[in-house]
Amino acid sequence: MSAAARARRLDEHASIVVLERGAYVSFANCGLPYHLAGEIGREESLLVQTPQSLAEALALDVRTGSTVTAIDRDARTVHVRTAASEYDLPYDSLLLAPGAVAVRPPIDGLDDPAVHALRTIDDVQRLRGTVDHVLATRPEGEARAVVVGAGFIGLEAVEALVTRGLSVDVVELADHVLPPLDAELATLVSDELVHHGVRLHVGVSATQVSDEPDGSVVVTLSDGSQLPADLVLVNVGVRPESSLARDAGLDLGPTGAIRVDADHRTSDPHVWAVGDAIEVRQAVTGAVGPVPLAGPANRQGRRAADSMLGHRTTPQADVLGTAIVRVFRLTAAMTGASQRVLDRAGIDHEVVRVHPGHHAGYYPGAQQVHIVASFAPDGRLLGAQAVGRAGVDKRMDVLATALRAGMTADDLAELELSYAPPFGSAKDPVNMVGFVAQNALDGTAPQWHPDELDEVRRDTLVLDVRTHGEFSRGHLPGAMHVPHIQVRDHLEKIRAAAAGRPISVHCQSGVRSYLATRMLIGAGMDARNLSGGWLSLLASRPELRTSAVPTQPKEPATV
Amino acid sequence: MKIVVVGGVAAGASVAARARRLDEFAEIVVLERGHHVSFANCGLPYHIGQVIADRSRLLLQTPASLRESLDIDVRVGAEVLSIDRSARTVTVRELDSGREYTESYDALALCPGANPVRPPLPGIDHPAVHVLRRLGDMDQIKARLDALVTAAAKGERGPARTVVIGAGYIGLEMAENFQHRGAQVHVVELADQILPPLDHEMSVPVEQHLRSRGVQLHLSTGAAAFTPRPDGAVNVELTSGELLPADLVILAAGVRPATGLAVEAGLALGPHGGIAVDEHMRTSDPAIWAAGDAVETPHTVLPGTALAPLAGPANRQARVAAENICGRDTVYRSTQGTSVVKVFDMVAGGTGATERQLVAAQVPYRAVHVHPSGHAGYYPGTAMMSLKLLFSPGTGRILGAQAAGFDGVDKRLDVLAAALRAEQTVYDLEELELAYAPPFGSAKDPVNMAGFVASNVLRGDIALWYAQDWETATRGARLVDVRTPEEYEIWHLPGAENLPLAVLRERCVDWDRSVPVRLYCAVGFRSYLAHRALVQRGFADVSVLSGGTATFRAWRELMPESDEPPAPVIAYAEPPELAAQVRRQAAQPVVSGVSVDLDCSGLACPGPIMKLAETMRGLGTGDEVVVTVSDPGFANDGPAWARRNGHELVELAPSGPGYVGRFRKGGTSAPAPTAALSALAGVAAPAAKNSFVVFSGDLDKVLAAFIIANGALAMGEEVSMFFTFWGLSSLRRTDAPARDRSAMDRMFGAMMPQGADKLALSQMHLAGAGTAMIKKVMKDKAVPSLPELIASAQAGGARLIACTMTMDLLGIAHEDLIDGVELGGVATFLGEAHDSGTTLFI
Repeated sequence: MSAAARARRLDEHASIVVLERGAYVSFANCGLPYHLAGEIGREESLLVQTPQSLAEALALDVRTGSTVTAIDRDARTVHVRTAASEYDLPYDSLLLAPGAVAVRPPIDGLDDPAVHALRTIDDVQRLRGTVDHVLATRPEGEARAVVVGAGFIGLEAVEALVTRGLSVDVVELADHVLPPLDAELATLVSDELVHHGVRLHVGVSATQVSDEPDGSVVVTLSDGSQLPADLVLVNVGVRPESSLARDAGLDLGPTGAIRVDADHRTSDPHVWAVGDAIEVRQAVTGAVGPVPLAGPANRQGRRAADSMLGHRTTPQADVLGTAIVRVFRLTAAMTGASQRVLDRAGIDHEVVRVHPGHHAGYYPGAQQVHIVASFAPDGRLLGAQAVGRAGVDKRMDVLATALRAGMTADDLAELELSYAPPFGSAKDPVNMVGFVAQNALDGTAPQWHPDELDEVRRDTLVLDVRTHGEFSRGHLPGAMHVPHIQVRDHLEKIRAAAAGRPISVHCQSGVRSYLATRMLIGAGMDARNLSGGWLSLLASRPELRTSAVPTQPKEPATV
Repeated sequence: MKIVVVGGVAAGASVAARARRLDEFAEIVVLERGHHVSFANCGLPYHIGQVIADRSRLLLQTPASLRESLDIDVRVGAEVLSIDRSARTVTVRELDSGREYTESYDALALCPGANPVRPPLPGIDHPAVHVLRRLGDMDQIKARLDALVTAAAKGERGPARTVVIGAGYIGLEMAENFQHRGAQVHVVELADQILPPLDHEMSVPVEQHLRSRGVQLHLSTGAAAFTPRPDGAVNVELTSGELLPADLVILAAGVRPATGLAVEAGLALGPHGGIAVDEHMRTSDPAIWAAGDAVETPHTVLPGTALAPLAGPANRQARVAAENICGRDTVYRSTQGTSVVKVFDMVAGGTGATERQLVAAQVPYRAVHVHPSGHAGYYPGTAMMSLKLLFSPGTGRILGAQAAGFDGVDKRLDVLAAALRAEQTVYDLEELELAYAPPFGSAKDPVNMAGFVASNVLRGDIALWYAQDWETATRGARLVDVRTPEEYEIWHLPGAENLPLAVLRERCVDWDRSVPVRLYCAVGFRSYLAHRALVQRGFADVSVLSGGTATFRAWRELMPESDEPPAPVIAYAEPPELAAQVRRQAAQPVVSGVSVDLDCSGLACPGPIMKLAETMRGLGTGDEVVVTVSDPGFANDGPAWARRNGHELVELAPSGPGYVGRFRKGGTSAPAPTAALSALAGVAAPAAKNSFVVFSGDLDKVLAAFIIANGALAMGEEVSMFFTFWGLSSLRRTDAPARDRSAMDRMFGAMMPQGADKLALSQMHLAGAGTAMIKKVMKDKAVPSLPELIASAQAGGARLIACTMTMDLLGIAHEDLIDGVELGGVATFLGEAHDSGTTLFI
């Protein structure tokens, strides 16, 4: 739709025909879960444009219910099938924007009427109908749903179903919810889901949906467990809808996505392609593949229209993969490469973790923003993720802008962002990320990371510099405890305890341990600071929540 | 290494802390004249407003906590009297004891901050007149206000009367917090606008918001004197001659860098009177550094240096100073002046240079205005924002940005601040990939939108004209409003003709392509489409009003009286007064008891008015609609629409970004008892109804029919028009699709005029000359053409019914007629006529 609109603005006289298989054009598919929840009450508000409005404003010939079944590239025609007729439509330029199709996981009984998808307005209408029916017929609190797939749309749907009053089980094949998010932040999202009564089943898949006599179904998981449900929502991801392109002999990439050049032209010079069906180059890693996101799709449409009409040909920027999702009170967002992606691509990086307030702590309502960011050894930002209750979207947009601009840790430290107490701090969380990264990269405050915990406990002295109260609520077994304000007075005692080993310092969030690390380094010791502190450690190593040693009155190492 | 820091608030505390982290063994002494270090000065207004209830939350660090965690020797109540640069010592006086001593240094950091400007006005030392800079100031103000509020609560006196002098950030935060405590608030500002970091048109929405919350603004006005009143209060005499009695006056007219110590020590100052520093924050003395509000630093966009009393830059300057003191080579590049303020429910701010600054510095620039919503319009809780982008005409580099709105304003400012710092161009803004889900943004974020428009400008895809150039830009040009007739009717630019896009495409065919065309719509998008359509049809000079009527109306508020174009519809009075006026004017319909709730939040452009009109049409006289809108412009549109249509605006209350309005349907013909009866029966009373039989195909007669029809619609009445025989010609479309027809049908088709524009006069046709003349006269007199009248009637809800019998007879098919025409027979007409008060045969 973006391409057609842009094309009309560039060429008033072109004949522009939009062929849409479904009954709607230009609808707000990102709004579907919110419509399900009832937050967006009017269905018509999801219809961004209609064929009539497009005809009036842009003189577009929009034909819904029109499926293109084949492309004849030599004759430059497409074959169109509608409910009533079939015809060939000639073209000078052809743009393919077929989008993606839902992946059908190998589940027995996937065509059961209790199984739903959430990709189209028809889907949401049917799902709403089922939800209404189930809520009307089941005793209160006993309506159950199983959501297969804990990606972005899956979790938005979970929230919607819980809001409507259903009891929800979530099944996710990956080992944590929101697979694109790094595990340490996904833990926070899992906690939020569990807090709202959602039951999580991760690392397993659904294998079967079978009918029960009372009209409900049972979902069987790969671990053999069985979940009763009144409805099942399957959302395990999408794959490019490239069959038309493939049948027409256009080049596809290894992932099955349509291969395009920087102007979105396919291997046929008269055919362009945009959106979820094409492969794009990802920033940071340079990997090529499909990235189904609304923002890039919109901008690709503009680009393709420009190219089709010979307007300009400047290359499309690489895709950062900026994404965001709200899960109950939490927001999770990401841009650029995750730690997992960097590890897999073998890209050297330093990770920093901060947990500042989203605005000045003394102004009411401050919420912690948990930010994890990765930097190249030369200081270049490679990716960032964040989770929190407020202010997450702002920081992610600033970091996405910084990433696109090729900014470094120094640049982040220098960013001059808007500050008044209701909005931020004089040192914004993004500045904090820059400060910590500078200190980590230039050796001012070397870091150790949660995934090094086992080696750290084996080979180094763990120094916990939190307060007595914090220490008593849980700490690493064998950790030496010196509150940070007393470290200066106990330097020799610490030196003796370390006995030549490096000292691995930590506090709750990483700030006080940074001060302590500087004191120890100043005293000539080999000290490192735990990135993100105890908060990040618990998020990365959830097993510590139960195994961390609570207070022991005569903890020998406590000063 | 011994580091002495003068001043222990934002910059001073930061220098000391960073120095300690870099050098564990340095001796670090902080000398602070006041009694507190490292307190949250940006939080002071909010403690007075009791938003921050606990005073101790403002004390970020104490001398004890700084000593414990950072081993810093902090001395409060210690005033530095002088610097001996050759001996590298400072002379210190303990304010409590009066004892004086010298302290030596290896490195000295000056962080004295800034002092509030106290203009030398008569009576300024009156105890009711305060500045707000330090905790002690805050305590005094709060104590005075608390006493006033307590007395008022006991009924011993009226509400506290407060006057804030200066409408910068602190002034407005004080105004909001006073209001929050139940005080009456007057804000006095010497400039002709509030918020100096914003350009005029960006500050006006905030001014309107302040007024809607009951704050009295006195712009282009200064304080002249303060005279004591017998009741212990003070009279603030304004330059306008007005007297404002006040129990509490806040001077927030700006700050001056505290450079006394530096001047006495012979350190170099910059052109703006701040301490001059190099990129390492080092002063003209290599052993002395400076940071914070007292220094001037290079501006990111403008030539030269600038003072920027802002917390963020102060902290980073301090960090850079400490790093260089400790032997590192760190550079402070520039300050771009990013700032933001919350004013009740609104948020406004800017980064980089303003248009005023660019003009003053003679930096070439271009500007665009966009008005997107904070997040997807279909997701609740958003409102339109105003976003202005200033950029270089050559490279497209971002020079400045400003935003004012309700949700998501600070986010867009930060993104633009980062982009500006990265020296990005408007083309980069097009490509920014920002986080999108409906609660947070749009697939095309407001920042992308600004980038799109700006890039279009630079690539020549669009040409803009600006609200401030209204007179010159439209001179000799055809001024076209491409909004809907409903929007046009509520308010339009003087001299504009209303041609919605679809109509414009048809109408422009016979226009002189050399006559400039100036287009506008509500925010700039529809007029952009129209621009593209006209340019490609060969029009030589077409441009679009930047930011549409939204920006234009903001500008108009500020134009001097003489430049005010005659207001065609709206008096720009205060919404409440306007509401009262409407109440007086409207015939008071009897309340029917029927009330309909209408949620229009998230709707913009053409907006809530359309929904409201639609809903109102289905109601009877005396019925009410309670409409919730998030569009701030509704304060103007709602009352105007009500007045135009004879409805009563019962109340209009601010709610979040928008308003909740209660409208009572007016009307002249439906008798109240009927309305009441129908209401009891649960049926909406029918509005007055008119039916027309349009038999004639003569231009003048059909014109008359549609003029009457539009008039009836405007009066809120219903209209049905039944077209039969020659009357059907006016509904034929000019571009009817080809289809197989019988020879007879084709003949009739060829003989009858094809469409409204082809009709001829009943008399004086004179082989076409008379018809052409009357069309010209109509155009000259700005009488809408027949196609416009038809479009307007349709948009107003008129039912156009084509007689099926005639269609059969003359071989006219449904697709030969313009869109939106119903088909009907005699029964349909008789049914309509039966319900009608007026039936005309034309």
